[in-house]
Amino acid sequence: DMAGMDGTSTVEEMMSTLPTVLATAGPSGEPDASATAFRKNGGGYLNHKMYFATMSPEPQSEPTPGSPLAQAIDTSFGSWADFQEEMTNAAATVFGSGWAFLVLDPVTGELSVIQKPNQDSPYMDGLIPLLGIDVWEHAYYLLRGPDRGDYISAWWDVVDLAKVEEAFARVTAS
Amino acid sequence: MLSLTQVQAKHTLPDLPYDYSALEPVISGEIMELHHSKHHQAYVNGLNAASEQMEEAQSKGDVASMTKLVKAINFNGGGHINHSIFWENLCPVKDYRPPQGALLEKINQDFGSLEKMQANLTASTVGLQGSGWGWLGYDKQTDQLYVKTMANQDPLSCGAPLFGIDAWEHAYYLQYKNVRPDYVKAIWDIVNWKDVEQRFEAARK
Repeated sequence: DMAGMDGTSTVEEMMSTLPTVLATAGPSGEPDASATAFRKNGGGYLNHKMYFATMSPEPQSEPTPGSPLAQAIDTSFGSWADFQEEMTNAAATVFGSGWAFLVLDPVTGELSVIQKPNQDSPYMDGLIPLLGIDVWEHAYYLLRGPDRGDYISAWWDVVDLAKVEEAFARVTAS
Repeated sequence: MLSLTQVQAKHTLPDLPYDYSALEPVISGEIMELHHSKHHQAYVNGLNAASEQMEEAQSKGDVASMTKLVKAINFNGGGHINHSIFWENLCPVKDYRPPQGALLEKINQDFGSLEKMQANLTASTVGLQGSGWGWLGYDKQTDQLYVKTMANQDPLSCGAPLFGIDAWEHAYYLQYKNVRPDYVKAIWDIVNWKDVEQRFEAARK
């Protein structure tokens, strides 16, 4: 039975305990099957929830000048353009299925860009995802075929920074 | 200065043994064309680029660059190897015939029956998370056929690959959408068992 599966923890909290749970190998040396299933489905649930929530047909395309998020991005990356380049590159270079994320380290307060394979969630590393791009082939193949680069460029046109600012305010308030 | 003997021959995209539409209705011509001319070509191009960079790094003794390039060579080289096997593992429906001879005997011996082996490889391939391949392989050391999945483009890690099923979404999505089980079920109608048998014979030597 996985820690926290009694209804008292959030999905985010359970994802954070996952590395410890996964490290507990069964008799065959494999991690517990329920932990593996939670990693896939819990991670997939959180990742897609955020992905759909941070896109919109009439988005705010850049952070509000002078906002806490804008300042944090400048501090951590140098500029908005520098962040975009790093995020784009991370998304383009994921091998196989996975995601690129903008994450907040709650301990240091720093923002960074990370890659994750399959449906692994940054919560597993104790990091808080603020923005993510799905680069599994199913995210772009029907419209663009193999052209992941094209999809990433187009995705920036629907990323809604208003939503990211809201999330940033929520997670930094505590 | 590189001497002619040091310059590696470039890797090239192999021709398909059949037309793009030859595997219909199991795999659409649209998928075959994208899969071969875009995806496999990209692995070949990536392998050539990474190999060239690796040669340069080696000649300079630049170990930092060499270790960084290993990932790119694994990914693109694996992609080239895996897809080269895949095209030959498949044949048009009209040319299909069931497995026979020493391979069939060994399948019955190691799995109980052909149906049991198929069920095993099907379940493993369908259950594979993310991108990767399902393999029927042969381990000469233990004299065993086995089923194993590999992630991304990692080549089969032990023994000889005999038959592989590409479980990356690009292999089926345009036709089967997210219903990977339908694709894996259908692919059994186009297995080129003659090719698989030949690989088995070669692996046993």
